Amino acid sequence: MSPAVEVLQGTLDLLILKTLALEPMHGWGIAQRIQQVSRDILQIQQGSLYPALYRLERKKWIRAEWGASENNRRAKFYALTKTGRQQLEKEMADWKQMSTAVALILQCV
Amino acid sequence: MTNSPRWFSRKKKWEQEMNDELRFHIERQTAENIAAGLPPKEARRQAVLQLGALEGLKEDCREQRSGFRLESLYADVRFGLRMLLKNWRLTSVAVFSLAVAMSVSVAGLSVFNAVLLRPPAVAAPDRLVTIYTRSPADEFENVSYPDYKYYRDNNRVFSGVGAFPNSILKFDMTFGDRDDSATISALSDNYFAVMGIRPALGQMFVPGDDDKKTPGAVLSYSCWKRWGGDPGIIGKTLTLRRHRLTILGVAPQNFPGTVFGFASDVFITLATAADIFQDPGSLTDRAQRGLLLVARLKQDATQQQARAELQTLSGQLASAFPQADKDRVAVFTNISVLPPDSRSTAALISGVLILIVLLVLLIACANVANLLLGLAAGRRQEVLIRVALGATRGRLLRQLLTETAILCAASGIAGFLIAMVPLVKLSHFNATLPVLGAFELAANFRADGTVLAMTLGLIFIAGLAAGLAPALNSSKPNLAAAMTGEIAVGGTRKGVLRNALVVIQVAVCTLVIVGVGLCLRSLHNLRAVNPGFTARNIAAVMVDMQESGYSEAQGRKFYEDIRREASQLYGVESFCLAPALPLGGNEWSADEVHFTGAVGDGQQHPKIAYSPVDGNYFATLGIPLLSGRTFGPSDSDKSPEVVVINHKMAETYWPGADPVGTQVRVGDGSQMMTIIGVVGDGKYTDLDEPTRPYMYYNLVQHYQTGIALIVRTQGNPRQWLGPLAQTVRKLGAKTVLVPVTLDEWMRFTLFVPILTLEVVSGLGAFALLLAAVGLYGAIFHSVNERKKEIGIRVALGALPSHLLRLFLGQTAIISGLGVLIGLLLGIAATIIFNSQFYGIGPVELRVLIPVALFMLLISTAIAYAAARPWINGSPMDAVRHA
Repeated sequence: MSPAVEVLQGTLDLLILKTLALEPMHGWGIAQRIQQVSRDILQIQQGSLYPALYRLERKKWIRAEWGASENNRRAKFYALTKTGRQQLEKEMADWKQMSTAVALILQCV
Repeated sequence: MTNSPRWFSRKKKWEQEMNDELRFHIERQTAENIAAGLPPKEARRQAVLQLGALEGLKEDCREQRSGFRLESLYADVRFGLRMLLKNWRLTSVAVFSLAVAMSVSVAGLSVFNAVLLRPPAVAAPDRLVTIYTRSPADEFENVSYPDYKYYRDNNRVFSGVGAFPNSILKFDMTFGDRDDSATISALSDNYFAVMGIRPALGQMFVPGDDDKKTPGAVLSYSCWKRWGGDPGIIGKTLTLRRHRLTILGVAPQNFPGTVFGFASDVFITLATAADIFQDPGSLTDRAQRGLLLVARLKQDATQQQARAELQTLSGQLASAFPQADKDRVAVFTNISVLPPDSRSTAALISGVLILIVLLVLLIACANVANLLLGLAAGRRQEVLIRVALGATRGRLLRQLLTETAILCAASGIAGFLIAMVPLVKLSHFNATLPVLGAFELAANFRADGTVLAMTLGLIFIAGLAAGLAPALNSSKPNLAAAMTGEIAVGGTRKGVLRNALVVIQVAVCTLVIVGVGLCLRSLHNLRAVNPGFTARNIAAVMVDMQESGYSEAQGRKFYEDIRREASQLYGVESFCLAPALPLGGNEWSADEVHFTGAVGDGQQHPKIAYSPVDGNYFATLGIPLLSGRTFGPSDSDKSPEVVVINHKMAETYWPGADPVGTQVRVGDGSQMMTIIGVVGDGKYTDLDEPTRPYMYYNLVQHYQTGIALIVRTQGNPRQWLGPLAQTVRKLGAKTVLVPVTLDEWMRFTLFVPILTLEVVSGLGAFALLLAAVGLYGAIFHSVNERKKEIGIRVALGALPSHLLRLFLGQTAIISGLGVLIGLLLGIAATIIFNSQFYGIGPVELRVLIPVALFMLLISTAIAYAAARPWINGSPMDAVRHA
């Protein structure tokens, strides 16, 4: 395992939304997916995942539904809503702008 | 938020689902860990560890749930209510103080709003203006009818200009078989059209009615109701001074009349009024400036254009009629319920009242703050436990402020309701004014949105003022001090805060009491003024010859008749005839005086006030004759005119000489009069007027249509009021006002200062009551907190007298400081409002010293009452239960 990096403050929402853009997923799955896709570099504090999910649900960016998991257990699946998709696009654009800017500064200075 | 089963089950289900979700997470992670090769038990342990502290996590999730904030507020409110009810004694004292102060504030604000803020209830009041004139001699003067017509017909900026005299008249009226005394308002024929007032029934006057002189009348809504509310009243007639008026319509309910505060019964046009009151001059004479104008700006006209237009028109009038209109400029202000000349006075008076009211509210807030501090003292344990369990300061503050908010809201609502009772009653009621008789008062003091908004603002401010300091103070518990039990002994910083509150209360209360003292002193000074005549045992009755239908010859005969009757009245020592009683608040009349010979510089023609009286006037009223004689039988309407002057006039224009026998010319200079006597000075219009020159003309030579029979009686003059009215009735004449004694009449001239004193005293009583409650509470608590110390002191040999001296000494310092600050504020207030008082210096020691002594005495008495139970208690008890 390579040294894990803590998820940057404020980017957890973006990561959750992006992960859910592919398909509805339960909480554990989201944590797992983020870890895998980032090749284990990003490690989510599992404790902060659930309050974040509840917050996004309250903002109506994602919605939850109970369904059967891959091992056939009852699990709560989260899916992106229409406003959530718009929010994802906006946050991705913001992030790109931000990272470009940070990269520029790091190159120059 | 409710505690309904549905809400409860929904919350339970939400909780269940959250647990299920987290359990699934742990299971899934456990399975993953097992797959990674961990033994099952360790796999599960790792899974739980990875998730973190479970209870904290759940709490974080719950905070995200929608409705959480509302729920925690609900919990705060519920807990707050429980704490307040538990301490119901403190709570009710706090709510009572605040509710009383709040009701006073709401009442004050409502009056302020009704008098100064609210526009009249007419269509589009923002386009309406009031027009009056300004001349070098007078800041506010009304407009004459011919000038009004000129402005009305020649301007291009107003869509209409209406006019009305700012006065009402009361007359007997007959409608069907009903005899009624009715209030009459005259107004121009287009008044209703300009104001945009639509009839409730029939029609209003229309432009042109003034010229037609068809005697019509419009009834007010309340008069129509009083006369039976007959929907078929249109076209019927009423009789006023032997004129038959056809009822054209009924005004809407929200239009009580043209003069603020008074309900009119009957509206007539200016032309009708001139006809009925036999005053044709009011329509033609440019010197009779009796009208206030209202005008509606055209849609496309600006205020600047209107200002310029009025200036042009008044310039034209000034050059066409220099005698009446030279240097006279018409100006306008936005319309309000009050005429322009009384607005600044009204603003001053209500400003002062609002200030006092807010000071009373401040005292009440300090009370509540103090009581909350006392409440907090008993809750230190609770706060400590909360802090120990991890409550943040913000969370504690929220809880404490919630409690204050409950207190304030409860007292605010209570205060609002308490205030509404008198206000609604005051808005429409019949008042019997002294001397003038019964009038229907109609000022809409009912609360509207503005008052409601101001009340909410007050509640908010009161909440902050009362709650913030104690909340900040008690949400900052000193754990270390609490552990060592230090806090049970006095001398914490809270003592300082509490003392500061008491100082503020005492200071504000002193200030208000100083105000009461100033009003009282000013009134006393006014009463002590020597009016120049004797008011004892004087009664009077007033007769209107015109109303009685007398010609001048008949009137002169009536003079003789009433003199004969009066001389036969039992117990009448002396009597006289005069057009009015002195000190009516209005100047009777004034004439220019031209001196002949070497008096003055020969150039000045001073205007000197006069009244026409008969020869007995001076003896009856006890005005001393200083030189010469008064009017006698030899002075008739055929003989040369004679005049009696007062001492001041003689001294001013003939210093060192006796003017008796000198001739002066009066009026336009054509009328020659001989001075036959000099009498003592007096007060003629108002008690607070300076001594000034005054003249008396001979009544016989100056016939008056309104006359007062003034008699000096042998005993209590009230007993002659009935016989006087009877005498007039026997002669077949009509009285104008109810018969009065001169004492009553003079009290009426002091109506405003007495009313002010009553209002300020009422507020002062509230302030004193609330401050007393606050002082008692503060001392009670500070002594209570030092129980342990007292016990130790007693154990060490302190006697009750020592302890008493200790506490009283402390109180004396606190209240002494408060009184001192209050006195300084009082001196500042005296200087600012000096013009409102009579005979009051900037540092009025005769007020300040008694008030200071009174306040110190009261606070010492309260301190004694509050501290006494503790001082006489058993020292063992004190130490043990501290």
